[in-house]
Amino acid sequence: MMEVIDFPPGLTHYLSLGALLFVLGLVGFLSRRNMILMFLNAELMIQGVALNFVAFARHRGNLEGQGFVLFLLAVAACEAAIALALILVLYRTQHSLDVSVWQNLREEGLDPTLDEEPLPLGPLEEKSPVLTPAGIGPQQPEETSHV
Amino acid sequence: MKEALLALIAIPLFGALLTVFTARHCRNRARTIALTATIMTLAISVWLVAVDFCGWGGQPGSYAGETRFLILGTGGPVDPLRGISFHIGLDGISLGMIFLTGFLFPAALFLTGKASPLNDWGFLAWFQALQGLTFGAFLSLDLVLFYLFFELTLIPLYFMVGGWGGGLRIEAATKLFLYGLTGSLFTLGGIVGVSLALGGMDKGCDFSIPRLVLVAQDRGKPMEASMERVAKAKSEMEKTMSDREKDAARARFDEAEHDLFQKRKVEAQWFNWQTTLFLMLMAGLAVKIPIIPVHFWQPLAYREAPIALTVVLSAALAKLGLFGVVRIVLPLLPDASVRLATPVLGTLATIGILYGGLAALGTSNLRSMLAFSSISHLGFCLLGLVSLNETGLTGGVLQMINHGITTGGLWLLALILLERFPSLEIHTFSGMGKRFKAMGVVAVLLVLSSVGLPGLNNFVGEALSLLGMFAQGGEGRQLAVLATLGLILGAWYMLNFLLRTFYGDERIPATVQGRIPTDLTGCEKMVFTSILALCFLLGLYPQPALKRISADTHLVARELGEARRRQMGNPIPENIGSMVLTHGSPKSGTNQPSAPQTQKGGAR
Amino acid sequence: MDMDLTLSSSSPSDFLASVAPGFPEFFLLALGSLVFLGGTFRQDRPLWGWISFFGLVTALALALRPIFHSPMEGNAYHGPLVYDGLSQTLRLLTFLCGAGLVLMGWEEGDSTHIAERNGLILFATAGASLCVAANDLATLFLSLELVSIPTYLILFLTRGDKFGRESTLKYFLLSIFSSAMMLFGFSYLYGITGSLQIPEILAILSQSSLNPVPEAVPTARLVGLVMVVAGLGFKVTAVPFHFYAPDVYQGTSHFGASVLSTLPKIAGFAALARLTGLTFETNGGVFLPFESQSSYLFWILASVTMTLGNVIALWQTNLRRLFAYSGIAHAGYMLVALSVGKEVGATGALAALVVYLWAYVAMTLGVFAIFIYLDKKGKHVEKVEHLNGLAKTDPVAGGIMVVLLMSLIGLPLTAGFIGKLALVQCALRRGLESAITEAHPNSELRLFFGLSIMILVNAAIAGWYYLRMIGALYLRKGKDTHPSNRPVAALVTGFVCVVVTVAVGILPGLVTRGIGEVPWHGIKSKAGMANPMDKSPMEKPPGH
Repeated sequence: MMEVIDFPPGLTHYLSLGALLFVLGLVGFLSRRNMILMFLNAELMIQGVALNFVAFARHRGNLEGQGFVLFLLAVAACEAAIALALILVLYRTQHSLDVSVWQNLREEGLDPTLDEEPLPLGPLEEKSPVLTPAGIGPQQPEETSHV
Repeated sequence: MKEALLALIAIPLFGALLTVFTARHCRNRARTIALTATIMTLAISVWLVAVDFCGWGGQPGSYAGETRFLILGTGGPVDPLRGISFHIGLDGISLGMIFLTGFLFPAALFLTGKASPLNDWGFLAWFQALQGLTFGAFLSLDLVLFYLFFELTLIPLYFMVGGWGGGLRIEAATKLFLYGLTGSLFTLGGIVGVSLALGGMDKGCDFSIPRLVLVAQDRGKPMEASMERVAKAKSEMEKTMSDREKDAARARFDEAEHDLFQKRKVEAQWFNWQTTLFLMLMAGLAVKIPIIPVHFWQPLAYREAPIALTVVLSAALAKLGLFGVVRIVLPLLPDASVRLATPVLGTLATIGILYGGLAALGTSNLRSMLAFSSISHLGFCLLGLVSLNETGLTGGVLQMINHGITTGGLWLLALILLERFPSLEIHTFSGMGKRFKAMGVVAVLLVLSSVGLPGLNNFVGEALSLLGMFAQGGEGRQLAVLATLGLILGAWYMLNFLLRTFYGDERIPATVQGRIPTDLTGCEKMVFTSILALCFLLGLYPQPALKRISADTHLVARELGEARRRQMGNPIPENIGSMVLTHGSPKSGTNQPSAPQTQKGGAR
Repeated sequence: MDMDLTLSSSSPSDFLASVAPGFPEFFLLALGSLVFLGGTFRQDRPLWGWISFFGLVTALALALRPIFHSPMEGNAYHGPLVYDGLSQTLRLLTFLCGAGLVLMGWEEGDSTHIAERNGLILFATAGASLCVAANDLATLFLSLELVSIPTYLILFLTRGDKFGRESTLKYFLLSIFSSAMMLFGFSYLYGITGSLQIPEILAILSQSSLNPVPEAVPTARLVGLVMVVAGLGFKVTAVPFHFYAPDVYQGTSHFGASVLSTLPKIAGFAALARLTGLTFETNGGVFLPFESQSSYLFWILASVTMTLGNVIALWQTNLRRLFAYSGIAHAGYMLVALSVGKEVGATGALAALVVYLWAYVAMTLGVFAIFIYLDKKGKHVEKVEHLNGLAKTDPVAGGIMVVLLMSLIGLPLTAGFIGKLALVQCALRRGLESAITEAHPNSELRLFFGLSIMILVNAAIAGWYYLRMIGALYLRKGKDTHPSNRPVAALVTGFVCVVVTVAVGILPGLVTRGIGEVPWHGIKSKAGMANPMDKSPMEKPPGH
């Protein structure tokens, strides 16, 4: 039997939802292996925080919290840009989105964690089209003619 | 006077810098610089002693040539370290140490041959730096300044032992440094704790030893006052007759008792805190002396260190720890000292005396033997200091000087032997006295001095230390009896060494470079003659030295006596043994410190 | 009620006046953007190096002789930036650190991204410098991100192999994660108090610890505190949040490690100090925004952090990994100051924190500068053995290194000693004060006495591994290498770090100047506000 929720929902409801999003993100971040999903889970945590801020801002009756959320979203977007660039580079080196392939750095004398069910490796991609690099290109040795 | 004290610290440090910047890879110039600098300090310290004994220095019981200016933390009002100052001064306790430092450093350098590998610019620079730091530690009247010099000595020691030592040099250096560092870090905690507890916490903090000593002296006053009040109220209560008067007297008595109870509670807290601080402060000092459970670095370091360093390590630097005991621990923590010094430090010192003696008996190497005998002899110094009465304290300080001279002399003897022969294994030598007459005479006299023959210096110090311990009664007496056994052990191994090396059939090992070994040269004769002259002087006519020392130890002893009386709850006769000091008893004449503010409080 | 004290009611000119003292930082940001733009046209080491270096020196000069003074009277403390003693001294430290990083990186790394790297250093420096002055949560968050985002990119640019990639990945993911935690804490702090201004938050919190409050507040406050400390704990490598540091340091280059061990830590500690109210002038009143909770929380963090850092450092052979653990241990010492907190008289704990932060940054930066110098000279230094016999082959670098190591051990006349002395002193003082006033139970004495003993024991343990390096430098024999070139810039950085270390060691007052003078006069009127939790939004001023 469903209880009737008072409408409009109060602060507690918003906070609960925010906390729920945050915890979902937290658990996801800690349990996922896919780099993109890990990053998205971190974003989910931030969205939970944003919800908290908006709810509190309404409760407090000032706009500071709302303003904070704007900054939050902007920064999250920046981080997403970096994340995607980084993940792309990492994918190109190892052909996998699995974080557990990155285990070169660890305490001396410690064995790497063995992955029992490794994620399937991505296809060895054919050389993808490359945009013309902006700016100065890397120094190339000058071609010398032997003719 | 001021300038002289500053010069003592500055000249060696300047000499070290000069060596580094002008004499790199130039052995002769480095040696000239080092000798000049150290001999200048010798001249200054002799001058200081002369000035002091002619009475031109400061008043007994105060600090001569005090210099004080703020060094650390001259920032704003919230500087956590406001109050650390460069505060130096000389008194009867440090005078002897200054002389030892001023004498032994140049002597060790002087006797090191021109060809020795120790005449390296690096070694000489560190050596001079070490002398400057040692002077600084003996002169400092500020807790943090003392700690600063005390701890900084580890750096030259580490590099000298590690760079120019024997086969196990790296292990020896590491051990020495880590033991020293660990111990002195605890001392740092103790110093901060003492300054917070005594110096008050509201207005920055106070690290000045003379000021903190005054606070420590006054610390027991309120307690005594309320004890008196209770006694007075009690007698009044017994005297008064009428009921009304009796009630009033009872009320007064209750109030006084309540007051005493409160004071006791505070006092108990302070006392517990003192005990902790005592242990912390002693940790670093004990490593430096070294006393028994933390001595493990010492035999290795003494054996592996370059010999010129071992001379000063044993004769001057070991005194830093003992000096810290008498300068910082005893006067600043009188209550804890009364309770802990004799049972804990006294027992450890006695164990050290016996252990050092037995271990020295079992070694076959002259350096190891002298290392262990150092543990044993320093035990006597400590025993004197922890007897906490004037006799013992004076004896302990005198014994510190005596040990520096005699053991320093023996180490110098080892040094000149090492200049001639490749190893110091005792069994390789025999019957040397026949060919090396002068060396034989020196060795015999030094050994006799070391075993405590009456008429030579060690006798006076050891006798006074033991006497002080006896006078303390109780467990002190038992410890003194045990320590006397150490004297017998000392005679045993020392005479054994003498017998085996200088008497018997002549068997002299090959020299270092195949040269014909020679007897003492002119320079060596000069150094050893002065050492022996000091031995005889302090053995036959110790009164001036005793007088000078006891002028300052008297104050410490009096403070400790008061603390003991407080603890016992009833007065005990002060300084039972002070009749020994017939000459120069501070009780006669102007030395009587009626008001401590005018005496040690010169720094105020 | 004084209505002028809210941000929204201040006019644009007031706002400009309150951010104007941040001019050096804005200058750096503009310069950084220029360097970025210019980098697309020219990749020229000396050009961008000199521009960045002079930019930082200019910022330093501007910070030393500010053109715009912070209007501290009245409501100015409600601006987004506050320039009190703490921000002044840490700002100088940040600029010096940035200049040092530019110099260190002069010959380091490949030339293709030299402009970008210098621009990123400028950004990160500006971010750290804004962070030490941040006076509200939004500014704090943005400036922390301004440190983090350039740091990811520097990590990525500075080492291109798989180790570098892995360390970038680890740092990036954990940094976002920690930011999210910190933000969650921020949202609760904002929710309880209804303000983003740090002084206002603290004032209201300390009020609510006195008055009867709704049941939810203490819990929400604790959640806020723990989350914020967890988030910032990542930045300062406090122990349960330290685990990325050894891997990331090892995987990146010396240069990356030196960035990572300095700027985020300055920012993190400054933020922690501000958020726990260490900088807050109380005018003698009772001031406990988090009651004793923050104190005990930091007590645990400090003791675990320093012990674990030092003990694990004992058996490290990789130099950068070792310095990661050493950095963790030093962070543990600095957390002591936060644990001792405001309850110690005046601003002793804050001054100790500042002195130690200066010491730590100077020492670490100098050590890494020497590593870079040796690397560039052709002597590859990865392990402790690689330092063998350095004092013979390169006495100058060996001498610089040995002074820095002495300071890391904590020998007198160096900043490391003064920092430890100050920390031990304030820990003991807190313990003794509570014992004397008997305002707190006797257990407090034991607690803080134990903490100071822990500092000393840890310093002794640390002596062990630093001494191993000194032994390698001076007492052991190494292979003589023939120097290929002389990277002077890195050596100069090392030398400057030595100068700073010794100067702070002798005159700590130089860097603690002005810390006690927190000119916040408006705080009294603020503290008189009613508890906001039981205040309905209707009562809010009409300015909204």
